[in-house]
Amino acid sequence: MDIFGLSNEEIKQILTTALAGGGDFADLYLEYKEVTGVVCEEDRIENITTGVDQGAGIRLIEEDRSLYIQTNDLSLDGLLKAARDIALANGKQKQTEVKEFSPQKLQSTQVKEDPKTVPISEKTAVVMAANNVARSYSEKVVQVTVSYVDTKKDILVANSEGALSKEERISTRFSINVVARDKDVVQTGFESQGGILGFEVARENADKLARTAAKRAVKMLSAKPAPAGKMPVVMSSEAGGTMVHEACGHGLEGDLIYHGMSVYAGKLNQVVASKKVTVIDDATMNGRYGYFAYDDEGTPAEKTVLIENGVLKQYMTDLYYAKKLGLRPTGNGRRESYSYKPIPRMSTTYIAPGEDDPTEIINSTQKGLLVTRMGGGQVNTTNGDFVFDVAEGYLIENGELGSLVRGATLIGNGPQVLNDIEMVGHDLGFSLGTCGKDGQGVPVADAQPTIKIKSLTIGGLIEEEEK
Amino acid sequence: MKLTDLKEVALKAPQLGAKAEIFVMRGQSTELIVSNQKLESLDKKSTQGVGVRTLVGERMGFAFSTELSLDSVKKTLNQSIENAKVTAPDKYNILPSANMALGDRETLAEVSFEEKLAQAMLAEKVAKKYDPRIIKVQRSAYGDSLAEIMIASSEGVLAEYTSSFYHAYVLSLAEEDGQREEGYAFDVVRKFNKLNFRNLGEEAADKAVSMLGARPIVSEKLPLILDREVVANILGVLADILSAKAVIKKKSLFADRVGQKVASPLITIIDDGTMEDGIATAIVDDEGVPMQRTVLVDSGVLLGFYHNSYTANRLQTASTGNGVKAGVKATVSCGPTNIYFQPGLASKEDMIDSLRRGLLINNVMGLHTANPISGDFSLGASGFLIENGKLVRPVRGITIAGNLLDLLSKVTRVGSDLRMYGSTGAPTLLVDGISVSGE
Repeated sequence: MDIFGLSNEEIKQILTTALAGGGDFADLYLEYKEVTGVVCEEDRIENITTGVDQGAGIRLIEEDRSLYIQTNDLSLDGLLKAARDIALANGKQKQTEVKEFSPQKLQSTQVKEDPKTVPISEKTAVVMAANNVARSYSEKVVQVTVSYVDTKKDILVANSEGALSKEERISTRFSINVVARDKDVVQTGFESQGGILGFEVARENADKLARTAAKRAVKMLSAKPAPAGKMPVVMSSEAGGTMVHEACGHGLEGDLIYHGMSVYAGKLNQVVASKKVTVIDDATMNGRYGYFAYDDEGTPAEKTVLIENGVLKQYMTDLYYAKKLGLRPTGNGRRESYSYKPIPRMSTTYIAPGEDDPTEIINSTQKGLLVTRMGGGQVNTTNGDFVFDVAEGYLIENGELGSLVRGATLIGNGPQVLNDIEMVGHDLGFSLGTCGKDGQGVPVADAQPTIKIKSLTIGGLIEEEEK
Repeated sequence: MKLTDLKEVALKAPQLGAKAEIFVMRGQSTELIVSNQKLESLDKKSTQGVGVRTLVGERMGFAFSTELSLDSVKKTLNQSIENAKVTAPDKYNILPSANMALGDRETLAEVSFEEKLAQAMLAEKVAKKYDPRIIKVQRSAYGDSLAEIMIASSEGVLAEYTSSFYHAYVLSLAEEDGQREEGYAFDVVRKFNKLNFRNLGEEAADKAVSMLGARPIVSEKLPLILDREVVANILGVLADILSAKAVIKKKSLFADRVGQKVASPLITIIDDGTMEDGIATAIVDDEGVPMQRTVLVDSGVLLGFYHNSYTANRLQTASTGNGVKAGVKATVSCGPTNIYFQPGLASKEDMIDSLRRGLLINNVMGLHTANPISGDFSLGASGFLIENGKLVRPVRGITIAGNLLDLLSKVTRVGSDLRMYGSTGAPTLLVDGISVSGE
């Protein structure tokens, strides 16, 4: 079924109308999204949400200037009106011809269990089962929040240079947050799994995620506070990939490079990391939360090597910043929805596995912190400082696992940390999240092997007696 | 689509075996960005949508659509009823009853496009000229928007109002000895003439330039002066603990502590949906209940929590008008309106003067990882080292850590410089001994 029902001729008419007031380039983005969400809290299905979200955006670029108009009206008349408005706003004369399009071809996601075919009762059953697993783990569990969301998003992108793509993305995400309490101490455990996948991701993982989240919340009740100060850090592959996302991912996005707001600007083909470090952004990894066939400007997705054996090879670009930087587009133009212009974003970003043995990495560390679960993070790309949250960690003493420590933020500086990566394991562990930038959230995945960093600042507590 | 149309659909819900509340939002917004004294981008958005809550017996359902026709509203209502049937019954579920509230129909100030452009250009120019070390103003932006809300329910709620907003921000870049720092200043207001473009330009430039040469300090427990912007950001997390919803869900550290001392006696926290020109101020909340002023913490003593109609019904009290929705696609939650720390008497200068050794914290990173349930926070931070009552040098690459409750109890002085950042406001605070981790 064709959701948008626009012929190539009609699309050309819209773009031609948009360019009637001048401009070098115009593009059209159409989106139709169906969402189903289930939330369980207080031991019961508290909320079911379904909805339809549709809209379009037309962009016009002329030299250094861009105009964007967004509307919820997807009819041909509505789109032509938006196109006329943008031409009027630009208000010039120059004519740019719209190139011919190839026939429309839908690129669709192949999932095992299309969520649309799964009755709501089955979705609530999986959610309730996870709730029960977490609640029965321990009497110390006082609250469990399980959330399930599936979306089907249809996108059509066309531009005046003849690019046209149509894609259907089905994604499913399952998350669980467990609160445990022991007298005055309250701790939480959070787990999430999802991707460009069907209902199977919930069915197959719910039980394991519930167990892991409950276990962490309860065991954190007896953890000591994390220490303060600098020490060597081993990040286990099971901890996820937030660190690489913050330490260098954002800093390699084309807009920040162009605006001089990245410590990696002007460093192409220079050594920016330890020889052991190769960093890749790959939107073509099937099933991952950062997967897409075409980016949100119609550029085919690709695997982009950003850093190879320590040498900076490429930045991530969209069409606009590729042109500005004199680079090729890498298919990283993404947007949260039709409400926003595309900007360069990551997809699935990871440090490539190396040759070191993960156990050996821990054993070679005299004293340090082992990170076994990371949460979110943030970066100041201009000066390179970044933070990431450690949700679970252990002290390492004489190469052995020591005591469990509570959550803390770790802070480092991107270029320095990349140089300080001393060992890279042959394993790889993924995590997923919603990455925020310029007010837009997009789904991303990150991954890292087990790695050892010479030193990072641990944002823990200074014990009173040490005063 | 008129309010009377919505009312008609809502009143038919009982025939379908349900109570219904229809929430419609229509908005339009414009934002322009200036770079190098030229227009760099112009965005115009018009958004619309309908969200319908239904109550079938004791079961609550919700559905939304961004298509806004009578037909789509009816379809969304039916879908909402279907969804209600699969949720669990809860005898405290409620749709608020009869309230007529016709609020202001605000319009945007009559300011020409050229004037808006000129003001954004002024902010950029001021930032650029502030200091020779400002190498670039990455962007100077201005935007305005209108949001029209209509709520109609089968229980007699009929509300309608339109609010206007104006915002501006400046992002500048400073460089010295090959080191770069950025500075960001933002403001959002309800009256165009309350935007001070010159001040925003100066603030963005000053924030960037003042951080040049920053480096870490060694780990140490130190008194901290938390800049009002940092305090406002922290209040954004802390506000969760003051929600009746968090209490019910066993997620609030303040549960069972009403009437007790939970903070330094210098701390008073107020939620005020009636604040003049407040960003969250409206005649009613998102379920049609009148907004009000609620003192949550008074001189360190917890007086109570803010409520929506569900939490109020469950805890047998009255809603405080805190039923808020994160847009038309979200169901009603229980959130703060305009929330702030009441200002005290101290000046920031006096606080700095009073410290033999300490830190002024101007910026924090990773606040979204702070945990309002456990209260634990550990944040990246930057600011200035204070020695003998003087700002000595800029500091970055450090963290500050502790527990929010502990932080509140350690406040020793409260500034007189309350400023609202959006709907969250705070003065500068001085707090005793907090763990600072650095080199």
